[in-house]
Amino acid sequence: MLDFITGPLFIISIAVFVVGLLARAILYVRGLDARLERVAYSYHTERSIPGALASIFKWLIPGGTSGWRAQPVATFLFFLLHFGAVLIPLFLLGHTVLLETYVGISLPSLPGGVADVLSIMALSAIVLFALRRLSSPALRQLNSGQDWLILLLTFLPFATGLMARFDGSAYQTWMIAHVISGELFLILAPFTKLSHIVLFFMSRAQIGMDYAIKRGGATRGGAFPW
Amino acid sequence: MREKIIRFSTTLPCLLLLFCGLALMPAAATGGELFPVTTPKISKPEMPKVIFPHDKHVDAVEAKNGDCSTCHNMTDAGMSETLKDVTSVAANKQVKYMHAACTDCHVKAGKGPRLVDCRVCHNERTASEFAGKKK
Repeated sequence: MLDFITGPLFIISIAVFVVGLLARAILYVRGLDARLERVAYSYHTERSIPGALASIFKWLIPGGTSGWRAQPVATFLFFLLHFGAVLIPLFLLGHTVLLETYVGISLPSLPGGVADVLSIMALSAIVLFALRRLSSPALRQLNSGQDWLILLLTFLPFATGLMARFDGSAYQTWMIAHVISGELFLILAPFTKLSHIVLFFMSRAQIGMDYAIKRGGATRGGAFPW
Repeated sequence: MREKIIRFSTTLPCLLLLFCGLALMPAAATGGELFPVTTPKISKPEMPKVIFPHDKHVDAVEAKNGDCSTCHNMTDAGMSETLKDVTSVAANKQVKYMHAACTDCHVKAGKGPRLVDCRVCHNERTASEFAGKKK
């Protein structure tokens, strides 16, 4: 079974993930209004491109925008989760060894201690996010099954990965659970709110362009942190 | 410091499990010849050293009508003690060679840990038990 889930099933998962997210990005651009949005963005590239980059960049900095500063708790939890959620899948030693052996791409890897800390940070952030979701009245109004689903989809690979790391007695069982839950994440990402993996960049870029061109963008000298 | 806390909280249950398990374990798991796998010095070893259970592998190779030459090359000085061509690979590629050689064979044989099973071979307990025995 392990050979199937780490072989064909893994390739299918990666393919669904990559093709699906690319499709989401293309559909995002196609969903924009040609006359209201796309023409303006491609006509004023000298303002739209810096605006797009500035918007993406500032939202990647903790407290870099007033949106972040307005919600300190959410901001803290966001970064607590996303440092690990971005770095661990790509740079954990076990993952880089697999990538190098099967694809030939050799990436630098995180020191073991750092990886442990990042994973525990991410896992605690997910738990705290769930508590916040239960306790905040605004979020209780907005709650949907999807929100819980993506928290669960993110929780499982981290939880099973850490269990494999620290519970040697059932290592191979945890590893199978880890691979399957990781694949579930990859396969469902394009179809759930996990598509923010690319759509974050798409919508930040678009809003960055929009504010740098319209809404007084020209008079403010382009991008600004809103 | 953090590592120590983790080690302490895992050693105790691990030892308890070991004592309970010893009575039930098959002889093959506890007995047999163990060899540390020697690769060129890694500047910062991240994983516990691999301790290779030789007898287990001899049994598996013999069951498939293999012999020593399945894994060892003959040299002028007799049979090489290392796996196949590992010593003729560049020093910084030997870990990669071992990863591929071990797990390719495990996949073909349909048993033994695969490449995703890092800590089955890189096992902290086995490595420290081996280090303890050697003293």
